[in-house]
Amino acid sequence: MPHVLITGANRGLGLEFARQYAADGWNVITACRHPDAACELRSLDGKVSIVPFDASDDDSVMKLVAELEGVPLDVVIPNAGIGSGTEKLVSQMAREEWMETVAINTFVPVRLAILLRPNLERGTHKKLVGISSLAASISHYEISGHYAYRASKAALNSIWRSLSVEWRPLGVICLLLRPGKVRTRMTGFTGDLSPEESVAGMRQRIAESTIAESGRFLSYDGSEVPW
Amino acid sequence: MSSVLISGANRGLGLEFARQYAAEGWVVHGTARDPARAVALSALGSRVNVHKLDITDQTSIHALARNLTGEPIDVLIVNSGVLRDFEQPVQTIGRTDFLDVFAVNTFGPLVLASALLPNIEIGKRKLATAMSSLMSSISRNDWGTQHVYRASKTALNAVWTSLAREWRPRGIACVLIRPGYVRTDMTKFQGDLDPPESVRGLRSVIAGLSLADTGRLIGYDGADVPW
Repeated sequence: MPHVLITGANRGLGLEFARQYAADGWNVITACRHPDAACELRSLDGKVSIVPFDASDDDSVMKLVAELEGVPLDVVIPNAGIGSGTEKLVSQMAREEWMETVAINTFVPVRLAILLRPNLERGTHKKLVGISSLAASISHYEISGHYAYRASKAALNSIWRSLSVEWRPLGVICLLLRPGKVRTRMTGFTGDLSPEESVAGMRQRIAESTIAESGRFLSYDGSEVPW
Repeated sequence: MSSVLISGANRGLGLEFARQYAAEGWVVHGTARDPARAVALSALGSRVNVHKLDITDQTSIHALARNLTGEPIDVLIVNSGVLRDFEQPVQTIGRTDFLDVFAVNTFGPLVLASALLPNIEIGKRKLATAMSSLMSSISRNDWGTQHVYRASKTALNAVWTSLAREWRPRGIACVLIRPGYVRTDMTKFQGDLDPPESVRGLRSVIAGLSLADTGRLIGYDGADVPW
């Protein structure tokens, strides 16, 4: 059975990805902070393992990669991310906040992608999934503010696209997915979709994707998101 | 008499902007991290004011803003930028260096613009421009390379277009400009054109900008760059 890696799997979209892949019989490797406290994750049916992982810590990133050495990974989903802070106006920008946002939302997913490329190459499906956002769309995000979050997701899109070009000869599919506005803790449980609906759609996109989709930005429902 | 503030004016495109605007009788405020070493900028004459600025340092930005209290800035050109991918490709760049590229290329420009809002508001043109790049375009990216620089410029596009929305009610146009592939220190003197030609083109574009152009990314040749 195929292997999937999901970071930030203790709640929200990450937990739902773990739940649905495990229900389908996949080998699900999850990574999150405080595995002992990840009750819902621990109680999932299926082949689920949990590795400690803190995206704010470089050592933790390296430990996760070391733990996975030699393990073929069919799908890698660096899902762990943080939402927009309190800043609504440019005058409210705070250095610590934007640095943390870019570090966790952009740097860490890219770092994991690069360090886990050997694992993807050993797998069969070879799918690298970036969890993006409508906020990344330069043309179509109408809400002002959230500068740090928007920048972090636009940057993620940019690098994922660059990796898709570079890794095309290897057959690695770099997919960017927009989950939609999902009711999770990150959105204060406001939104149009349940995690179940969004993740079901995203898993469908992942399953259907071929090298032709590499470098593209798709919504959970299959529609293309403008850059 | 018109006034322009150009960040990173000690060499390259910034210096050329200062040279051309000073020659046309504008009051030029040029910034450099080390004014004592900005010899060519200082030599441009009495109409050129050299200011100290480290765009990654909020204290430095606020000191500059204090020194400019009451000074109208008709056109802001946030030109300062770094390209570190030759020495630190995405495959090996660490967290701190990665964030540093975003500090200079993405968030520094936002914080600088925000600090100079009072100056822009009392200016005649109400124009805030930032230096982007063809490399920022995801849709045009079918050749990869310089992944981190690209991402920082895509992120700049994202935040500048958000700033455009935030400042539209104030009548301030926020426009991204693209210089082309110019032979400067940054590109190790590789390129298709030299600074004078690029800057002539950009100044011509800037001369024609109005609030209707807010949120656009326009090249030295007058052409829009797709996202």
